[in-house]
Amino acid sequence: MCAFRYVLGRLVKAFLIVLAVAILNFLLIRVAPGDPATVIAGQSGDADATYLAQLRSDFGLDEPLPVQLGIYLQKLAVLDFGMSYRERRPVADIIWERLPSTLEITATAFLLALAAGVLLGTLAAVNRGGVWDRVSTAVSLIFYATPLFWVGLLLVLVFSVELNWLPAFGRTTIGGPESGFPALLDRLRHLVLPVLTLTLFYLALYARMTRASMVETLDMDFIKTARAKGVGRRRILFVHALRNAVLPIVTLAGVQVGQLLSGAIIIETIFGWPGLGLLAFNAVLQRDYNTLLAVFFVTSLLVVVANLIVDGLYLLIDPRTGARA
Amino acid sequence: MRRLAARLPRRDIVFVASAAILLVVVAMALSAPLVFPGGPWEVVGPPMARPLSDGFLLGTDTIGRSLLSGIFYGARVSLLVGIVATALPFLLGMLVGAVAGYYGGVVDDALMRLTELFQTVPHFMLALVLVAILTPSIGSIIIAISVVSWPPVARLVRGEFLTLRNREFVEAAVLSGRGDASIILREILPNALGPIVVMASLMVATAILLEAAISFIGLGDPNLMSWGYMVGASRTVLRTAWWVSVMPGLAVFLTVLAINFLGEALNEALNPRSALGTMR
Amino acid sequence: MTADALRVEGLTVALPASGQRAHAAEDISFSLRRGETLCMVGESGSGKSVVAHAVMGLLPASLRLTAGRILLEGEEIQGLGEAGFRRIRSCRLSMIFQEPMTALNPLMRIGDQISEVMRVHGVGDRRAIRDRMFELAEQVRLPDPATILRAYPMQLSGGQRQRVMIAMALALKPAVLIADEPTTALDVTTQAQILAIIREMQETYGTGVLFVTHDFGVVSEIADRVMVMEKGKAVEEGLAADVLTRPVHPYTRRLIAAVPALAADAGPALEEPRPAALEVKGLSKRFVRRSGLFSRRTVVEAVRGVDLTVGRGEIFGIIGESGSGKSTLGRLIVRLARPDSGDILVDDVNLARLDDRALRPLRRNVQMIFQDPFNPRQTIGTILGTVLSLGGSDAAAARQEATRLLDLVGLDAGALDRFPHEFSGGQRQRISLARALATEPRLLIADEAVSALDVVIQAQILDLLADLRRRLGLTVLFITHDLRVAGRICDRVAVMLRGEIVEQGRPAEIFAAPRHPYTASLIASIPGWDPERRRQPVEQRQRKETAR
Repeated sequence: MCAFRYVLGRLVKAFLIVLAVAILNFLLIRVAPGDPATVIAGQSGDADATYLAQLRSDFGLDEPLPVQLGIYLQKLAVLDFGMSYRERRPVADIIWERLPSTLEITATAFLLALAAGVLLGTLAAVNRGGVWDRVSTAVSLIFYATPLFWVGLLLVLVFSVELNWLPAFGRTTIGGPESGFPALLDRLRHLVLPVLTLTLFYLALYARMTRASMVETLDMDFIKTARAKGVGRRRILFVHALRNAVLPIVTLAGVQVGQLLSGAIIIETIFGWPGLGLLAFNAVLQRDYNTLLAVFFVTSLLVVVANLIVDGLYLLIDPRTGARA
Repeated sequence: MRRLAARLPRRDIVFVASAAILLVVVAMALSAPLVFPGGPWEVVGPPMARPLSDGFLLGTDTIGRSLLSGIFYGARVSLLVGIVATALPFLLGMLVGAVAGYYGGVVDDALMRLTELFQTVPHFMLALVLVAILTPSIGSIIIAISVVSWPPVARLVRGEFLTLRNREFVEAAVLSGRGDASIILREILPNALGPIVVMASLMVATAILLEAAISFIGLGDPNLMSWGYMVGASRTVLRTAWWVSVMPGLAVFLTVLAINFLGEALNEALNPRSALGTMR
Repeated sequence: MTADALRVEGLTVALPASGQRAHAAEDISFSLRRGETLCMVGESGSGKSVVAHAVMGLLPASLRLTAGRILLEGEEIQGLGEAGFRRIRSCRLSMIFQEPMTALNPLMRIGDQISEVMRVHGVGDRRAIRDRMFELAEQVRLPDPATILRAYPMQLSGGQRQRVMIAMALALKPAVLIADEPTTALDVTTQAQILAIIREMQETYGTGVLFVTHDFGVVSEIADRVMVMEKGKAVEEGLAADVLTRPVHPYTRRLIAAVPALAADAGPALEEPRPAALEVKGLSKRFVRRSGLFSRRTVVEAVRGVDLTVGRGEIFGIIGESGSGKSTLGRLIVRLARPDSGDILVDDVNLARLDDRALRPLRRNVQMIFQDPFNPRQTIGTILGTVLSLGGSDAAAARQEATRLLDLVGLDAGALDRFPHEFSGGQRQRISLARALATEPRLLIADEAVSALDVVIQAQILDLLADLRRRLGLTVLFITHDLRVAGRICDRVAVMLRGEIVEQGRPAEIFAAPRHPYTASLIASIPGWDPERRRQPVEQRQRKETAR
């Protein structure tokens, strides 16, 4: 019963945040220079008059502000982001098309970084003060300081330009294999560098946090109790300590999803990856605010969903969560 | 203050190197107009000259501008953004956090909902949106970074205040009949400063990284030469003139790395590991 | 049967170079037979806990065993590596710790944690494990075993968690149980239950118990033999009855003298009637806790309609266990919290309803003695000076007054320029007292002011408090969980249970003839109080058994 309340509470909260983001979007459109109609049309004033007039009536731009907000929210609820003047189709369609590409690299990077980070952090914590610990802390600090775009370029330089092992552009080789295993291999080869760039950065972060959390957990009383019971080292580490230590990491990971999606903009720009990030980049260049804000909204939505998943995970891992409600 | 300075690891090579790097960056920023009076946009040689050739220490870019000059002037932008885009959200965050943490209740709830909203939205993207909408300039970049950076400060300060508010010495101060302002300023704040100061140093690093990324994308101030812009503008010639992209990126990397290491040292100095507890 | 279950010879544990002395424990020797209870007594820093951990091989990395032998049932174990110790821990040699609230893995069910100790030592049969768990649950008197075994630690109380620890420790019937202050963090009634359970388990399994404690009441309750430790060395050892009644070493004598005895008089009765310094009428406070948007509200009635009157110059004790509301009551009177209803009259001014602004000038009249009310970044001089300057004194006058206050509590003026962390616990308590007296309050509230102090220091602070009351005519509301302490210093006491006062009166009267059943159970729970329960020497018990 308490778990139910917890879930309900979280869902309501998520809904409210999405609503707040939508209102923020609405305000940003109004803040943008120029007539809101031109902003939504996305051409900085080049659109023809009839189209603009239609937009005005569509979005109710002559109505009082609260009415406009209502209309806007209604449209958002059905994911109607308006039309892309450039491509002459709904923005929602474009986003829907490109979403899987972005998820490909971000989800992969996320899982890799988390898994590898937790593992490395645990090893560092267990060998506290040792060589491995100091090396991994130093490496973590280094990667955390590196600008994402620079790492990407360096990796391209080394693996693509100099060594020619991996491709530097796009999702697939143009004119390359279309289906079957060779196609899969091709796809994987293209995936490596973008994913690696994203992973390295966040891996460093998770390793550091895991180490700190593990060190703290290993100092706790119940670990001493486990030792006094005669429990072996490996079991103490993986059954007792890890589960407790990983809780703050899970929370952190949820928070990081937003950053990860942001990073996708840079990664997709460098690697020409046809995802939402590249879409946002082009929208920036063309001053297509409508599309930009649509991508902004969708990514925020993704973050909210990710956080809900994290909350759900918490419910599974930590029995105290539901009961505290 | 003196005690703090004494606890910094002045012998540690990493610390010294980091401090040195930072000093170099500051020196570059201050001396740029003296060393390169023509400005960073001046064409001074053949395009894409290699480093250490023809008297160009770092070579030239795609148009023939000196890379070294660009780095000197870029330091100004990075430091300016780093400092101002930290100071603003820092002050705002401290104010919001202190109020939320000290008074608690409804005020706290409302302010925390606000910070949650900002933390859900992807930071870099919001910054991009803001800069795009406000038209790119150093001012809009600073504003955008500030808008994105204040929530973590508020949360940290609030957390510190919440813990400290319940400490006995604060309660004792309340019992003495002291006013809220006196208690906040003289009792709570000095004890909360430790983690806050460390966070400030990390915020500078983040601000520099954000500015570099924004400029890389192409939304930087068109009138100012920035390290990020240099990397982004020469992306296309990576294969033939790699140094044009790598060098400015290296500048960002080293600066941020130095700040991070100094921040770590500061963290260690402010939170000395407590002596061995008494054994019963 | 008479062979030693545990024998320690010349155990020495070194402290790291920066420590206060060279050894945490030096040349400790003792023996323990099956069915026997040996108490290691000492104040904090005596090394008793170090010895306990050393025997289990659980010393932290910073402490090294440099000399000595440990023989478990005749076998040497001090040289065993971690792997060797793992095999005997909980199987032949068990330990339970002080803090039950943090001793269990919060993410694992109770049943899994208890069964783990069996599985790790090779018991594979699930039915056997289950049966044993139920048997243990019954022996440690855990209510509704089926539910508890499926529960998580957070759903259990401190006393229940400690019982689980006992069950885990004795599941495999080890020869020796080491108990490191297992009841120090528990309420006195819970403590009595745990001590009884340990004794029962010992009788069932014939386990030898090494019990570490600082409380001589516990010693008189459960010990066959005693070893007194001071600063890492064993200063006295012998049969409990001998050591308690005829202590030889001066340190032992000091320790025993410092233990507040229950029957002692707090001094001559104060003349009645006295003008009232504090009147509390119908004071109530409830807390509503709600987490999350849709969760249930938990309402806690911390204080329910409390009435009491404290005369001027009186020391009035509030006695209660955790959850009784005594601390909340103290905080309400001092207005760190706002009462929901009721009156608080100090000097005919009702403090209960005033808002913060109106309250501020009146705050000086009611002060609280905290345990550690010091801004770690300020010197004592600054701390006292801030309080004094609020009363209008200038810097010079404030310093003079501060010196006078410090002198009053037995500290010299040099303390003014030092920082709080440079003082010991007892000294900080004195400074806290000085700070509270700085505003010349009408009423002082002391909330567990001496609970964290060692028994000798505790006695000194209590004497100081009584002395100051005499000299300054202080009125004190003394909040504590320890009846013995209250009996030593209070003129009158009130017993609180779940937010209400259930009994009031003079300590001697209440202890001799308690009227409320809860008071009676509190008194009965005091370790060493009931001579019937007091420990009989092992031989006597064995004689009794053979006679049956």
